[in-house]
Amino acid sequence: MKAQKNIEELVDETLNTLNGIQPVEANNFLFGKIQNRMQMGSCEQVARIKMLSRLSAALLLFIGLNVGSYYFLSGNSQKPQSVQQKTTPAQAFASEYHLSGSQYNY
Amino acid sequence: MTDEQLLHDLLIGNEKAFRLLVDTYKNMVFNTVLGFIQNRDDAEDVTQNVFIRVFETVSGFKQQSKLSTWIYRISVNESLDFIRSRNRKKRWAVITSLFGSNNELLHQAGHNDHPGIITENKEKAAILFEAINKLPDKQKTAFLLQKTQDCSQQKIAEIMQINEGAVESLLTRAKANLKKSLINYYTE
Repeated sequence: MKAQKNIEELVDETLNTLNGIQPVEANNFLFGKIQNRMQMGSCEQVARIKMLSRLSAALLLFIGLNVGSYYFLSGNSQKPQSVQQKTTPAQAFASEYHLSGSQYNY
Repeated sequence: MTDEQLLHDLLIGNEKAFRLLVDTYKNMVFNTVLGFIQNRDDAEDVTQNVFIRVFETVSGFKQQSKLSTWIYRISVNESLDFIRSRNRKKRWAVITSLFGSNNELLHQAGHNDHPGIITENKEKAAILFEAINKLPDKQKTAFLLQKTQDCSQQKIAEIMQINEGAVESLLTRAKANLKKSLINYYTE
């Protein structure tokens, strides 16, 4: 019973510790510090924009090179295909061993 | 200078007006933040953040409440954001300490010591702040604004943008939760 009373007293005392709280003075140089932070923040922002623009330029160049090489290579690979379509393997064999016509030169 | 004149000058980017705003409200903001954070250095950083935010968002202030109420609101939000970020860092510190070479906490938390508490109450105040820090955000805000800023229920209602009945309910629940928490602490 006594212990419980003690605990209740302690709880009340603890809850009342904020009653006599003293206001604390803020730093006198707060305005200067805020100005500094704002300037640093704007410098950081400029640096971040510069870095982002460089990264996006690099990314655009990379995509452009890839797209360009795709079209270049696909354009080149279509040419032999068209030749293959025109000459069948039998025709190629015939032309290699001069079997395609009656033009023999003895 | 009235609030309207001050706001007008701030909107046109007048540096003197901003200096006046900081000088007028710095103690109010600092003490509000200190109530939430209980660490002088961290409270100073958050106070700077509050004024930077005020400067950046002043064009969006609709003047539906007093300037001081709006600044209080920003102070509370910045403090709560800081506490969330600090808690995230603490959790991360626990994880990184598991992988650290000496099993030590790699990110030490700042020491909590409210400079406005008189020396003889410091020990008990530390216990109370530990219990306050476990309260839900709304209960914590209402309780701290009343205890550390001596705000009326009407002022708290304006800052938190709720009605006075809700503030009363929050304060009652906060006190009940704190009492429960402290009884548990002292009986252990």
